Amino acid sequence: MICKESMSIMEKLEILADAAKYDVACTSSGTDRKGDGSGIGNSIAAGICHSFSGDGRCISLLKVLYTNECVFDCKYCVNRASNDVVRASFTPEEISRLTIEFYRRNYIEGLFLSSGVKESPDATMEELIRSAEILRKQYHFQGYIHLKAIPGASPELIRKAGYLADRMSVNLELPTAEGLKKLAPHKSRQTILRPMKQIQTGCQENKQELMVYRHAPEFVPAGQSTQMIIGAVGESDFQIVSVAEALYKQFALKRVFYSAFVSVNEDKDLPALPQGPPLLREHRLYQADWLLRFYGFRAEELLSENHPNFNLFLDPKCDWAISHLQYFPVEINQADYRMLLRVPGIGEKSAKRIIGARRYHSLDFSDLKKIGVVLKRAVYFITCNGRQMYPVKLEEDYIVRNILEPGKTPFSSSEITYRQLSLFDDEKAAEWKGESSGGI
Amino acid sequence: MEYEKKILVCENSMEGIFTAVYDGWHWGNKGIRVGIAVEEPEYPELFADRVDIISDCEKAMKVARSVRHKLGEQIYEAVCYAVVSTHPDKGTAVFYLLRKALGGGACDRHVLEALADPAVSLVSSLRIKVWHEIHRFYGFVRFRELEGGSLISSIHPENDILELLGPHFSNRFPNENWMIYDEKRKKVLVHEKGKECSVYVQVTLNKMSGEFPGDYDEYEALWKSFCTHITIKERTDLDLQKQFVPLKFRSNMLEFYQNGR
Repeated sequence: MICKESMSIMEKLEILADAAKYDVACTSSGTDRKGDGSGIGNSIAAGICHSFSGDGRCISLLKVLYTNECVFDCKYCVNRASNDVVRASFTPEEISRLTIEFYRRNYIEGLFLSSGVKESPDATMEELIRSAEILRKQYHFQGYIHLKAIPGASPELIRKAGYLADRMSVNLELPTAEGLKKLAPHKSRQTILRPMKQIQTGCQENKQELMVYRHAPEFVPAGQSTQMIIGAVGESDFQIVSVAEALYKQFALKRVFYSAFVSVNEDKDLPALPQGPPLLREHRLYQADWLLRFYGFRAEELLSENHPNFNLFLDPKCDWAISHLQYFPVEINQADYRMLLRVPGIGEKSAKRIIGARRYHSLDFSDLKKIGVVLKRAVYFITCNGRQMYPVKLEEDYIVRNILEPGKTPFSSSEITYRQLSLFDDEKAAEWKGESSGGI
Repeated sequence: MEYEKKILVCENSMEGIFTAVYDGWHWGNKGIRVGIAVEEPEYPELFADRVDIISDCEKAMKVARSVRHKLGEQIYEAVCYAVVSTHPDKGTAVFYLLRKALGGGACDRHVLEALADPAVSLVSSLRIKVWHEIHRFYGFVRFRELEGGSLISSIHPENDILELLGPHFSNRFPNENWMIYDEKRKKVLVHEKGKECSVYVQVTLNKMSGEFPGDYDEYEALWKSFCTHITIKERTDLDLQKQFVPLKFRSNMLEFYQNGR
């Protein structure tokens, strides 16, 4: 292990921000708290993004590791014990000072503190708690704090952290238990799910408490989140989405984050990804995640054992609609909110606006445009007063062909062509003959 | 001779537009069309009377009060946001929105849902636009520490949102002395420790453009380095970044300065 004595804050920040960047969550949402005037800071439920990094991800929290020293040896992680990288640690005083100074300049919404496991899970957790404690008690900081629960830390420490943080998270790391065993030998499903359950029950009890005593201290008011690595152990989308659904239902998670696997270590158990991280797949999973949380979809509606992965060319909602044409077209002026939400091109906001606006008079396509419906996608699935915008066929192939713009898809070269009919279209004809009956 | 349309020309401020709404109301009652212009019309309109409106604080307060009481905070907020936008027809749209909501004696608290009405649709799209800008500036304002610990920031907002930033930042930094300077409109929002915010107009700050010889804020370097190191190189996507932080905002965000500036 390379350890350097007396590093400057700048050097530490470089190393520990670099090491923290693979954590996805940078949200500052979920808590609404006005400053009480005694110290510094407040928090807004919608969250505020302060900047965006070169990869297009939002920067809203000072996201750093407390230390990148780690006794665990997870194969996908840069900071695994067997890797030869420069190690650094902050002190609680340094972390809290840096947070406050950044916060004063309006660079950040608060702190996201995670850590490698130094010595033992309990010792590390105590350091994280100490940092949050200085912020809350010494600086009277009322901004956002997100703390990681270190797998294996004792329940008392998790509880103590919960009263200081707005959000806590325990990373699920991999969607399957076998995958976890293979890639993260020091972690187990149990050490991950136990603190998750504890935080959930803590939140529920705290809600009861707050109903009785309005000024009782709040326990993880912004709820908990988790994250999974996508594409490291060859799991299917169906498995991932089912796990996410179970987490939302059984553990009342606020968010599940998906992190496309970035290969940082060479290991025989890890896939080689020459074409870069599976970003499109990650994107489809996020889209499906939204469908689960806000659109009333269930995992088994979107995917199944026979159809285990998302279509990379179509978003999951379009994909669902096209294979369930029996529910369409939907009449905009009559359909209920639930059904409106299922139409591709209509989101939560526009569905609500439609419900509001149609109280005044019946809506037409030009009104839908003003409301913000994406007609490019919606047009195949809706009618206004019984009429379609222009004649479209309610037919699977036709819709797919039109939604995927010609020229941009692999279809355009092979199966579906937009060439004019020609008299000499005999190549195709020959193929057909050959396939059907071996020449008539 | 009285024409069937009045063009009220008022000052481009909340006070001016609300006064125009107050003065124009009785013409609305008579069925005369009313237009509110916040700057001198380029071409005088035929068959329309031009009326100059002198801003009157009392009339404006009356309008504000009745909107808040009769229609609620949500609509008042929408109207305020529309009024600070740059759209030339904002005054007329606000007037007709309020006519629709309050006309005929009835109060319609759901008027913002009637999106098929052109006035409502304009006001609500302006509201969204202005709110987005305010929300962006909640994040994109960058303070720089001066000697003595006070904080200073400058911005170039498209809409006139400086005052609307006040409540958020004074709640966030109650015990700091800070100011935000609108370089475009030459006004400044000042907050003194433990006090309310105040706005000063027609202020020129010469030292503003980031040139403070001899003073160096060490946290700026730390922040720049943090922003670089938090990027995952394998995922680099500058177009996506540009979508979230358009270039026009970057002139006041130090993490986007090339080598010091």
